[in-house]
Amino acid sequence: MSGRLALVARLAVADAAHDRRLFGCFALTVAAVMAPLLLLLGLKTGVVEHLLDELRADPATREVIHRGHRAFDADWFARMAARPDVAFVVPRTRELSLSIDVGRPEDPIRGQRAELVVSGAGDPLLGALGAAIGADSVVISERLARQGGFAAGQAILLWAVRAGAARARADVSLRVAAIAPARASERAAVFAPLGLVADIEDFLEGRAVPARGWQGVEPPAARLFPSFRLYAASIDDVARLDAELTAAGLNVETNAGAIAWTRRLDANLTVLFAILLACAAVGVGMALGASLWANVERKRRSLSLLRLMGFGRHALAVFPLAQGALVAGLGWLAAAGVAAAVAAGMNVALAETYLGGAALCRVRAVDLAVALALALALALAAGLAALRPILAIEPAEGLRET
Amino acid sequence: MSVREGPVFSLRNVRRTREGGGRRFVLEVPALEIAPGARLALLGPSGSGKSTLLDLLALVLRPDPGSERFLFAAGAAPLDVAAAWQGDETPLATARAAHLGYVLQTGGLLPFLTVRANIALPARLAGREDRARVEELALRLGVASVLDSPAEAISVGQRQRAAIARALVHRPAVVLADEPTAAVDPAMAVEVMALLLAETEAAGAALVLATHDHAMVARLDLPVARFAVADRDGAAVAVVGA
Repeated sequence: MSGRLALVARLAVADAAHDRRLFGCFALTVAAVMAPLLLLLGLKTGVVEHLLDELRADPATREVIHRGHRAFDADWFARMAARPDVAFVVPRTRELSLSIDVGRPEDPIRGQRAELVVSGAGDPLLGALGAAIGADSVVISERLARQGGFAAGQAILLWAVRAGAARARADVSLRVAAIAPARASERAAVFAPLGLVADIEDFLEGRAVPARGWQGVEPPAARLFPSFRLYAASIDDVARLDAELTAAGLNVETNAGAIAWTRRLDANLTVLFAILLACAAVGVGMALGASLWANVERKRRSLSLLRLMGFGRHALAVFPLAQGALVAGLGWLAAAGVAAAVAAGMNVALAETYLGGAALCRVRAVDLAVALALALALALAAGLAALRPILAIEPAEGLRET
Repeated sequence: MSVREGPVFSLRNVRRTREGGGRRFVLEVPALEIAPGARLALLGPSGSGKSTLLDLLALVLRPDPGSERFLFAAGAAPLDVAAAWQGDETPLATARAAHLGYVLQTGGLLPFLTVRANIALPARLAGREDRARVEELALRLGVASVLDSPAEAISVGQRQRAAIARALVHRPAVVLADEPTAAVDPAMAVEVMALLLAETEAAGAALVLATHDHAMVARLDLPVARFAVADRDGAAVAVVGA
């Protein structure tokens, strides 16, 4: 049976090849509708993906900024760090007490004023450089490196001065593991491990740090931090984190609005495209269905001969279906070729102007695959339109010359 | 070719009624048997019922209910044609594909295939593709030189000869020919008829030929089934007699 169906399919292709001009026109009809749709989809993808790429490229988009001071304990940080939608969270110390000086070991008097930022592996501001931060090694901002003339691999001296009656100075010898890129911080900053920052904060608050030999009052048992630095895992996690932290009574700022706007733009463009696609599909489907129907009527004599020769009534149904699939496949091939060529041309000619070099029109492989699947499905649906006339063909018609 | 004992077609009291143009036409077949390898000319003018009988034998026209016997015994088991028409038509299509060959007035070749593909098609359909047989038949019928031409590009005479090759390629039990020489000139008609008779005989196939050409039938001395048409109760009734 399947051999017989394959034979009908081959006859259908042979018939189409015999009428190649006509079928070429059918395929061009499909291509003429499909190619602009592919380009439109490519443009939509290009513009939306460019906007999303920009959002994704800037870690600040994913940052959840906490305004104000609360008391967050180690538990709270552990819970937040364990969440899959949180990429990075570390404590932020009291900002006023963060300022320290950084200088060369051979000149412990003249230092550069800098701020101390808790960081570590996974810090989105530093990217891969975050992994270089350790107990004795820090990453410094580009501005600090410039001001102090520090280079990566160099030894530095970091000191803090406690004011008031218990005036004292604490020195820490460190190594510059790397210089952070300029976009990480515009200020003079030292990205340091939590332990170091906590010790210096303790010292500045007048508490003792025995491990470093710094004198002071007894430290409290549990450490609390007033704030945090937090980055969502992806731009789509920002809105949820914003909502949950706000609901918990925190005053947070995020880019959730900008992200939502881009997503909404994407969704609206998708709806617009879907409407266009539906209209085009109905139009092409009807045109293709009419063409296949007309071809069955024109080939009625040949088809009835096939029935006479012993092809079953239902086996002949493969005839318009195979021709529909052929037209859809050829149309898709032409449309994909045209779309790829025009997209490439558009990207060369226009991308520099509009998207700063990013591809303006992105025709993705998955779009092409879906387009082929849709075209084949549409062709089969159109082929069904020719089923009624083809099932009505009687073998006796083949015997008579009519 | 195995030798069959009984007739390939065996009909008793088979009727077929056709309505058209406000007039009823009835074909009655009191008794008809066609032996393996036999020849039979259905002779009569237009409207005599020979096309109706040919359609019945071609398994493309449903006999009236109540037919006494209509057997087609070409395959392993005889096919009860009257009963097959009551169910889905698959057994009939299968029988047509396996055991019947057709030669039509103008050949009836498929215009979108080459002559070779046209001739090979029944064999492919029957699952008995045989390239050597296609070549051999084409050689004997004088169409070997146009095997790879499009079917629509060859002359009418070549078409009829290619059609004969196509009717025989799958070694059918019966070849049905409907006015096979109507579209060719007299000289060509003689040649086509001679080839049709010679090749069906060589293939051991029975031949049923519908024609109105008395002279040709007489010249070739073919057995004849005649049609006696009479008016009965306002209907034209054609009775087939040997």
